Amino acid sequence: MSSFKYSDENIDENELMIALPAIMIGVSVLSLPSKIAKVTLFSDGWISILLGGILFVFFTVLAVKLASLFPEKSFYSYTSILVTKPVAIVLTFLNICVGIMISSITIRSLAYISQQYLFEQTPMEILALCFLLVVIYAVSGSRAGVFRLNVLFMPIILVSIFFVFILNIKQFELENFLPLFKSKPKNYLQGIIKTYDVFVGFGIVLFYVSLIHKPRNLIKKVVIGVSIPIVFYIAIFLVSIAVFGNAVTGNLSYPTIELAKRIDIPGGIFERIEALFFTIWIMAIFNTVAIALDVALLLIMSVFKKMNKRILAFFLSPIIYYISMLPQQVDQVSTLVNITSQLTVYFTCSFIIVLLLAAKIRGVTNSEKN
Amino acid sequence: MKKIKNTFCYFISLILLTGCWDAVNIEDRAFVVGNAIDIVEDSDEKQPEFIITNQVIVPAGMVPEAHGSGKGEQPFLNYTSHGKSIYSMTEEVTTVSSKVPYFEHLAILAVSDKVAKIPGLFTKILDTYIRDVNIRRGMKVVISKGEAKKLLEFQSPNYELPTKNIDELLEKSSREVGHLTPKVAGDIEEYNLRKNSYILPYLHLKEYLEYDAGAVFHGPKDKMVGTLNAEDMQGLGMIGGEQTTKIIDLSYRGESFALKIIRLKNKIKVEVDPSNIDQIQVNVSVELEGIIKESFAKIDFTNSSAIDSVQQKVSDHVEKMIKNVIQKAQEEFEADIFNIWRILETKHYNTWKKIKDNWEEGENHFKNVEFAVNVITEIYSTGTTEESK
Repeated sequence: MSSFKYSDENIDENELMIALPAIMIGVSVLSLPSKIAKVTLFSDGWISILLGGILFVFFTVLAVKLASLFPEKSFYSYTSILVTKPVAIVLTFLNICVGIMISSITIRSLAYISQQYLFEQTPMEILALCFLLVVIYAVSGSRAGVFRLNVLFMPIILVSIFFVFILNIKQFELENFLPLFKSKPKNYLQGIIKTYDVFVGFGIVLFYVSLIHKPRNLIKKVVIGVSIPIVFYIAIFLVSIAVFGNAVTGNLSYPTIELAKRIDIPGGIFERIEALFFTIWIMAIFNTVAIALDVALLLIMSVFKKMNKRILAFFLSPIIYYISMLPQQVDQVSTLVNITSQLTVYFTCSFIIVLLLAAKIRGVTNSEKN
Repeated sequence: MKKIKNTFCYFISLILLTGCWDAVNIEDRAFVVGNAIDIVEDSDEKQPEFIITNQVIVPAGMVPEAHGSGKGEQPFLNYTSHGKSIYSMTEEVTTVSSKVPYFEHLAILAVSDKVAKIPGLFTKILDTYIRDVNIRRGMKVVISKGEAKKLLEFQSPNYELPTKNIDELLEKSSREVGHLTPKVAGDIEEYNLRKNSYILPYLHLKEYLEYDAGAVFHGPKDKMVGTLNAEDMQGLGMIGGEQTTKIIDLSYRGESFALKIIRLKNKIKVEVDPSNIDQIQVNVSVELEGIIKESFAKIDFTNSSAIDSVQQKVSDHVEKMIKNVIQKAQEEFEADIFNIWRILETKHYNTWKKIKDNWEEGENHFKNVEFAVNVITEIYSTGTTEESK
């Protein structure tokens, strides 16, 4: 089978703008309202999500600034310029690990949740394998193709969740929001930490800005890109609180799926909305894994320039599968998710700052502006 | 060579892509629509033995008899079994009916009052249901007086399926008559998590299925503590309900007449002195607008003083009703069934934090709350006749 060749392998700003929500919106959103509701009171959690979101907008903009200093240079080559080659190799390697880890844990969570809600009898190993094969197929082809798939899926995902909101209006209890602003500052801070795993993919701009030929309005586009998930998460959180109240939201494992389950269309024609919703949600998770894996491939190929992308993808797949099947219990999976997302966030934020400082010290300015 | 390879690929995908690990044919599913839980007489409270009834739909019986084939089959089958855990018993449906039970359409859970009166048991049962991913949070829960199993056996001429009958009864009576809105499993989980007191529909099977009472659940005690009769429920509806189509019967000058309420405005105001948490004052004000539906008394309804005195009479009657239910709640049940706590939480959060743990238990602040009831009635139309003979 020959793969379809796109006329260009470059991406544009709009595709990067969509790629940001595409990698962020994934498995963790399903449990986000519960995690936030556990540490905040009543409806106060939205402040945590907003503050967390603003924090990540800030770091994404910094990352774009950093990457834009070196137009059309890959992550590996510009870090080599800034902090010598060995350090650049270490940084690249760590980022490859991040990509692989995100893909693995997302696949594992997907397999677990779909087994819970859709396929009771099918072994988790098979579900994970099938999903992994599809993702490998996607990333071993053209990179532009993956980005175009993101653009194609994103509206479907957003519209589906919008429908879940609309159909739940009957169940809204607005007094669940009250009283407002009763949480302590410590609670808000804990809430912000809980948002890490839903914003974890923001670092991709570091690697993809180099693929954009002569970017325009990049910062604005990126800010919009990160704002989409912020609005989306706040909406999901508030709707869960309105429907279930704080206590129940905190007690449910996947409030977002339960929202879809709570829908009750009069007449009883169609009672299982959640199956449909979940199917659409798998598209969102597919986007997350495809981009995370693509980042890993991109980074490896920037170091080893002669590698064949398809062979590399096949080589990575058993590693990802192995890692995804490592945790035995559900709680181990969620611990792994927490550790990975927190480490990734701290690691990415700190090296962005270090690299920016290095750029300042070395006096690098955007060569195109001069 | 390439052609063979491609053909091979097609055949492989034909086999692999059409398979499904979880395929269950619809004929092999037993659609469970109702569950009833009873307890075996004299069973141990710590390790109770249950009697569980699963109502399974028989699709053949659901088809209306259009072809004159005589009385069709019964549209349902009840499987009853004994056991200590709910799950093991529902699985028994499989062994009896040779079908896989399917709980996605479970609509009614009926629990007998005996089960509900054992502390903690009702919560535990509900937890089993909530935990199952296949069971909807929208499942309605009712308490039955006596055996719950009997509820799933009662067929009405309108609805041959007992579960459907209960479902319609709950929906219609809340929408048309102003009864308590039906409570679903998701709501009850919320109450249990917050340890609130609440009221569930209390059904009684006599000659017909009767629904006019409510079962009172005490939050901290975690069990059913009593029932409210029809009049109490009406009083409760006056305080917290939004439904407007209620009828009040009362006697005036020794004759009875009925007043239909067409508009009901109620407001609960809580006054708290932050320094003295022992004094909580609750003002309940109710405004009624109604029309006279039935009158056996000879009253000239064009006479404004006559209307005034009827209005006063109605107000007194409603006030007494409300006070009755308040007294019952405070003294008999010690349960905050009016959700006063919610107002405290939203409006007086700092005070609420202090008394939260001693609201319905311990120091029992709810018991010491002072209620003031104020009812205003307005009768603005008297039906189509002026004077009844």
